[in-house]
Amino acid sequence: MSPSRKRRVKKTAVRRAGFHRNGRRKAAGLLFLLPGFAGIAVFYLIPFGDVVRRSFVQASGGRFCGADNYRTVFGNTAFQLAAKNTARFVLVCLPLLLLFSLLLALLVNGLGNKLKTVCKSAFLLPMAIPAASVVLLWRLMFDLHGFVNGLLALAGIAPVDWMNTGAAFAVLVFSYIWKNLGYTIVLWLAGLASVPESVYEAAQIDGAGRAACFFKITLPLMKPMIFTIVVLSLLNSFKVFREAYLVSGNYPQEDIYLLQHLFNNWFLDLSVDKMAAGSVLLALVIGGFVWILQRSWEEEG
Amino acid sequence: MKKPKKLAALLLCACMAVTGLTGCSGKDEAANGDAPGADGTEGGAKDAAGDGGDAAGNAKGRFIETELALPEAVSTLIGVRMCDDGSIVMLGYDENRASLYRECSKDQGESWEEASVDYGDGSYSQAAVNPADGSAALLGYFQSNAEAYIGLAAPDGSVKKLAITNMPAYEGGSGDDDTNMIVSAGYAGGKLFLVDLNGRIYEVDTEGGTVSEVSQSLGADVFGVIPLKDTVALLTKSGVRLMDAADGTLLSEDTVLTDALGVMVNGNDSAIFGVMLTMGESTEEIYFVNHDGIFYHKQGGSTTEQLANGELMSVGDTSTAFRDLMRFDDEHFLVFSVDSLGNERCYGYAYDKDAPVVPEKQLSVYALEDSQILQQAVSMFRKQNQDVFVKKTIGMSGDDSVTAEDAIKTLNTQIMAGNGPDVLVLDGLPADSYMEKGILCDIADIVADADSADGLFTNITDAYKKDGAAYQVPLRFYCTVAEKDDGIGQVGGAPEKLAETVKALKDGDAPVFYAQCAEMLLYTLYDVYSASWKSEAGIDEQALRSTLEAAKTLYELDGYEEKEREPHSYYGDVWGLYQNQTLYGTVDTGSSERIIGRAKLSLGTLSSVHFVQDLYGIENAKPGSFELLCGEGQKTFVPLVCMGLTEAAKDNELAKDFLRAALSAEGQAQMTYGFSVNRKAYAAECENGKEYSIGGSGPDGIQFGYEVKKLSGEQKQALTEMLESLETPIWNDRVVMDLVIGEGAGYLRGEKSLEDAVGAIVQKVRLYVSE
Repeated sequence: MSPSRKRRVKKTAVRRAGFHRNGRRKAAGLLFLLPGFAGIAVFYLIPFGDVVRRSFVQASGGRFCGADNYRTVFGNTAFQLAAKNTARFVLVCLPLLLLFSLLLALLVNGLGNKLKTVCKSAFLLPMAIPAASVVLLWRLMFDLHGFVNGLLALAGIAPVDWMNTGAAFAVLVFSYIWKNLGYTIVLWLAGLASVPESVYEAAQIDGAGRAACFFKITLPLMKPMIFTIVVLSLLNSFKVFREAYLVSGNYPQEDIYLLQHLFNNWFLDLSVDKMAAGSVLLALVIGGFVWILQRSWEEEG
Repeated sequence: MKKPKKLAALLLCACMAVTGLTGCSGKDEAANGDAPGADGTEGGAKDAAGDGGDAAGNAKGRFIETELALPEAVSTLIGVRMCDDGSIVMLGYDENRASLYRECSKDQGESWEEASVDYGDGSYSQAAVNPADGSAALLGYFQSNAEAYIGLAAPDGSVKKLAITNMPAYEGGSGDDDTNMIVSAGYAGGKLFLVDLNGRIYEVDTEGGTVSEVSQSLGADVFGVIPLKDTVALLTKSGVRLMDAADGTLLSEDTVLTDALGVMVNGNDSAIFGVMLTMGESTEEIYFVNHDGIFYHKQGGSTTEQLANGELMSVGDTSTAFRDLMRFDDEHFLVFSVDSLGNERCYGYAYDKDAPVVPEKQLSVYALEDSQILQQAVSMFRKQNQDVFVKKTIGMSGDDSVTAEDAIKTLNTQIMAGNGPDVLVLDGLPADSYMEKGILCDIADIVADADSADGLFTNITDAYKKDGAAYQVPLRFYCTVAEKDDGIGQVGGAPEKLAETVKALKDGDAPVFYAQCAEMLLYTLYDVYSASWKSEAGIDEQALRSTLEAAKTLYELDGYEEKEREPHSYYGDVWGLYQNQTLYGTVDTGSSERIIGRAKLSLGTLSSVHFVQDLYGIENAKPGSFELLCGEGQKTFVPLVCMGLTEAAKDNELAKDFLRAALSAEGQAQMTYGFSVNRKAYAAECENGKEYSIGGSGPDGIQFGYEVKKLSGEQKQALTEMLESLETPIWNDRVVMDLVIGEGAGYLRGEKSLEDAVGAIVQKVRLYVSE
């Protein structure tokens, strides 16, 4: 055997051994992933597949009906109102939450370690309060004879029926921000902590001011964290339904009638067809939003 | 070292998988204790009967029920007891309470020997039978200004009056009315014990004619005595206490027994209970019957044992009350009970070791809320088909905090999974949606069969037909009437007209209405006007506004304070009763106020022939009349227990049989509330109406009384014509009703403006309809 042939054989053997090692590592990784994936598949993916199927069939008889359910949903005035309210809620809440929480996170970040820990705990407190207690608080605060109207009366302002007028939307936004602010601040703080101090020091030596440091260093370096925070805040915005539902029931003031109210009522009515089509549409919108967000991040990166 | 780790990991995985799979499995409901017998309850019956155990799946041995005929002469039982020699002695009045009979059976209730009791001019409501010799003590009212006495009835029917010289007056009487009354009595250990309206227990000296209070430590807390050989079971507000009859000392408290007995008082008649006890061979053995079945308990024991399951027996009907439980041996029991119509019943229970623990044939019936009508329908079908297990599922049982929504969601999940019930009671459920989705099957043929067999009020049953198909049918119905003083013209019509009419009746301080709460008034008006509010866009705003304005006029007319309107202040738990569908005769409540001059007009529901008799009785005492209260041209009715069969039960003959039985005259005869949709049953109800006297006193001590008589031919004709004229069901939608009552009550109480209330209702109903 020539030396070159020998070398080739040896190289192939080494490659094969490497491939074998890589393959075993991959297989082990897959095995570790499998239980988690199986859980997701059983409890989310397969049921969602069934939801997609049901969105194309009639509720009774299960006959294929094409896009009829989607047409029905799009033509449904309750769906239009709920979708409009949900979109409005997300568009108002998300920027407000991100802005307030970032400002507060920057303030807290400048505090000493002890004070920072106390602030973090205080901000997280609303998350620890059970929904039932939050609802009680809502009622105490925003009832026609509640605390807020009491304060307004002291100031000589006429009482507001918070939950039965357009003010209900403001109450809902306030509740969402109050509940999620602390959690988002903690996320921001984690992001801020990941930016190396040495980068700021180098920039300051080069004459960069606070604003320049923030826009040129902090924000760019926290991009991955911003993506996570936006997605988490978006998903959390759907959880506000629980409080709205517990306070105002199935049919709240029309400004806080959200998609979840509609889905809940459709289920009571056994309108599985409409519910499935609506769910698929909602999943597409959320998925699309996350995808666009991810793409824009990647492109900028 | 690696191998044990791997093994441990594998073992853990296997455990998790097995646990997960077992947890997910819902295949064997019996294994999860859902079906009777799975928890060993019926197994207990076998053990008690001395039979061996078996696997739950094919276990055998169950008590079989037989209804025994009671003596024809007796219509109202006032006392029954098994004597020491094994014979049964019963005392009861005939249909018109004109004659009192003593009946004796020596063959466990199969046949009876009759003797007339010469009770003279006494008025007795109860009899306590002395088991030693079969004699009885007859007990009634004790008026402070009249001679108080009891009647001692010998076995031969002769009665000796015994004057009671020291009977205390009723402490809670209003005004001058301090009439005391015996609410419960019984012989134990050869002594006669009785409980009076004051809630105290006394021993009667049957020789000297005096009473002496015993077990004073219980205070005024006792409402019933049940004699158990030499022991007396005292039913108190806080539970059952056993007392030694010899010296009146209380035995140690048995909390297990108290907990097991459950609800003890049934209905308004405190002399009969939702539970009855008897003693076994030893003084430690106690047997009791309640609506859950027949049980055994050993005094001081930590548990009770279910011998027979109430779900398979007539005792499971919670509208019945028990007069006595008799035990002949471990395999034979006798239960005397009275149903909500006042019909006396006697059921024999014999253990059959070859009968399956749970009947193989099963039928599932679902209702969001329980009602007497449903209970009576189920009980009737169980009685007729002892080989069928009717599994009644109640979405909102009241024992937990399940809301209507939670219950409907659970039901919908079951329907979607193909595990839905066979029979659906559609009251409170989204019936229209179920119809559209093909959940319900067409029952037009069953309704047509019932119509040709007995005749139905087709104006009621056909109101639910759509294109010749019927997907639901109400078993009973009621309507709303106005009952008024003589001289008052027609009430009703458009809401504005109603408001004008009642305003014109107001003259000085004299009240027009009794102090109804806002919700009750709105329910009444909802029943009259809701059908006219329906519009394509949701709800007719103007019609709703007019109704709420009229409601406000009616509500504020007499200027009652909110406190006076509290349903709990004078009328007791009226609101609770109304919510539980047990009080439909609200017009009757108002009319009683009319007698004592506290109202001129009463608006409310008229829900059965019995209430019609009552109204005529009131009108005899104080001249007046009643008429159907209807909106502008719409004569509405309220359906009760709308039944439908699920598509899954289309080929289920049992489900069809259940509906046929419920619609039949025999089935309808078992139901108390509402008017029957079956003409034959309705005619029988008119024919068999009971006659009695009613007396009482108002809150100011004003006494009143009237005689309730059977309907005359003319009255029956008028009632039939009124019922036949009904044509439109109310807007029977829970969501709409809740919204209107909730927002409307706020408006009536002045908590919100008319604009706000109407705006909120209209917006929400439109949203609801647009979904």
